[in-house]
Amino acid sequence: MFKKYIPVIVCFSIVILFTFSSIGKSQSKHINTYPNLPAPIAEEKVLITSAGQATESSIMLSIADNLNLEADYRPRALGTDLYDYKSVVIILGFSANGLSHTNRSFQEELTRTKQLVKEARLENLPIILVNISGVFRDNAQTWQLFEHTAPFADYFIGLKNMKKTDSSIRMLRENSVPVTLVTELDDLHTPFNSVFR
Amino acid sequence: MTNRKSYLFIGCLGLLLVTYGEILPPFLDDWSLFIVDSINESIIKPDSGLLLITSFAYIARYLLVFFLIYFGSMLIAHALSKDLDSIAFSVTFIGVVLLTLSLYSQFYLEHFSYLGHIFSIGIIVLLQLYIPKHKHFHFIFSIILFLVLLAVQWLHLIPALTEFGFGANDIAASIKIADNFLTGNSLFNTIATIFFIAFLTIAIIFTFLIHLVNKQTHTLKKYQVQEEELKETRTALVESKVYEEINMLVHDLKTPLVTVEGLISLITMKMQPIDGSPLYNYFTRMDHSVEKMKDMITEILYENIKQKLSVKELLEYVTSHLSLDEQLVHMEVEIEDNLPSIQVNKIRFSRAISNILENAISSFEGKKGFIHINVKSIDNGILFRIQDNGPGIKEEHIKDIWLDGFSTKNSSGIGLSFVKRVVENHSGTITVKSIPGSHTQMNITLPTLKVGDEIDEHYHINS
Repeated sequence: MFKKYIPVIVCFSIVILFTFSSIGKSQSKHINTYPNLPAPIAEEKVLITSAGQATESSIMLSIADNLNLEADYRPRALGTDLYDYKSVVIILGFSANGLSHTNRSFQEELTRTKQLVKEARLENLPIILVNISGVFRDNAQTWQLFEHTAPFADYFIGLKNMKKTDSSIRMLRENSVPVTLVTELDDLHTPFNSVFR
Repeated sequence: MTNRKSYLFIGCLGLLLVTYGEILPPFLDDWSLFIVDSINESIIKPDSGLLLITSFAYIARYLLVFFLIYFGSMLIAHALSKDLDSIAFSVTFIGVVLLTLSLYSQFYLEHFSYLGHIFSIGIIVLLQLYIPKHKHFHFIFSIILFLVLLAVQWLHLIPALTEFGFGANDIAASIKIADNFLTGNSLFNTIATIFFIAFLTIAIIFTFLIHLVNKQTHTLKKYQVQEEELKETRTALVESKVYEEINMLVHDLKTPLVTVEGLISLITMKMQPIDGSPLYNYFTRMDHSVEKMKDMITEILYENIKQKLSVKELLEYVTSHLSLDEQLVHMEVEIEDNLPSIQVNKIRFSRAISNILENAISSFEGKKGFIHINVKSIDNGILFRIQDNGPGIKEEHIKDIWLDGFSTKNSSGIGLSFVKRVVENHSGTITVKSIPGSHTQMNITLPTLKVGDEIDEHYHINS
């Protein structure tokens, strides 16, 4: 009689086990970061683009509009498109669905991002790296995109509640990139504004 | 063989559904594009209402894909385990679902959380234990599966549970991030939780109700069977009482018969009629009639009493007792020449043949028909073939006609069981061949008398 419940008990035990093990992964412990930049580092007009084609990247366009910044949202911008802009904002976040609508593979997206960063460096355009996925998006591709862009960034804005926070901060500090971590997405306005004003 | 074929069909259908679920996403690209565009639009506008509508589209898309995968996996598990009640079915179902989901994840890099699916599987496996395993199982399972998957899809959209590993897939993450920006996650924490609880509760209540209804039906059927058994026992009891009374009555007839026999011989002695005179003939005939009645009574009371009889004599006795008036039945009797005598309990064997003939007559229901009785010798015996062109016996009833109480005409159902018992008591066999709508043929074989067998048991007992 009891035997037939064994598969059910095993399933629920796995769920409970994984749930408890997941709690420790996301870190919300206090890390000393800049609340915002002490002085502006970039000028308008701003190119807002995506690295990984995550749908939520348009949040930065909405924030830029709220701050009355002159900005274009071009998620598929190439290195050759930078001639019209004085700064670049790259939003990290790999989305399989987003990418499938660009007819590009992840490797092609990675190459595009690398070329964009390289071209921005050559043209001395400040690069602002933003990760707003936080705890919601934790995949190897997003981390790969971060690894290839973080060393060239001039400023990083992220969420406090995200996975691999320690490794991210360590890499950014090794490359002397100022970091600001916010609690809510709504708090992005202040550090983002400080980049330009 | 039939079972093997049906399991093969179920397995193939399951495989087809799983394959369809695996290859479906590229065909739903427009749907995904609509979801992605709507999320973008809801962020730019900003419009949390549009985001909520988008979430319905997201739920519908994934529900369709996962329903095919889960239902197909269930069919595969059913075909492999062959027993829906076994633990092997549950374990196979879990294994097949996880395997197909991991393939799905590899194909489309959706990064969905297995945790949510293990939770869904746990609930489905638990609820299916309470689904009655009859012909409607697959239909009921599909409804419960639909409700559970719907509930768990909403669970994936609860932002507060993301930290615990729920809802890590691509579009769910986008919706929750957009909701965080628009409402600080208060909208989806509330709405998705309500929907999750509501659909899960409906699934549980539905399963509970199905389980209860099944239990009630089962109890009702049990009562019906018990009632039928009780009715049968009552009928058997009444019949045995009737037989007992008839036996007693027949037995009691012996006493006045003996008196009549004694008085006839007393009158004969007193009157001393002359041989050949009419009075002498009357007394002789009366004496023979009393003797005959005594034989009949003995045969009724003791079924092992048998007498040597010609087939013609037996059939004449049978047909003389049949009432064919007002019937449009044509009866033909054909007896092979030079048949050896048979040794039977005349009363009982005649009754047995009569039962078969009466069954045939009643099957015509007043319409035209023919009954053909053919008696011939076969190896070591005599074959009585009784053929009629009535409506015949249905194939599913053939094996039951010899059972006590079986009847398709609301009768006592003891007629043919009596026939079989009598034939077997005479070391004979009886078989039936029937083609519904064409004819019915009863074959009775009786062993012929061997030398030394011709002992009238009647004289044994009476001596």
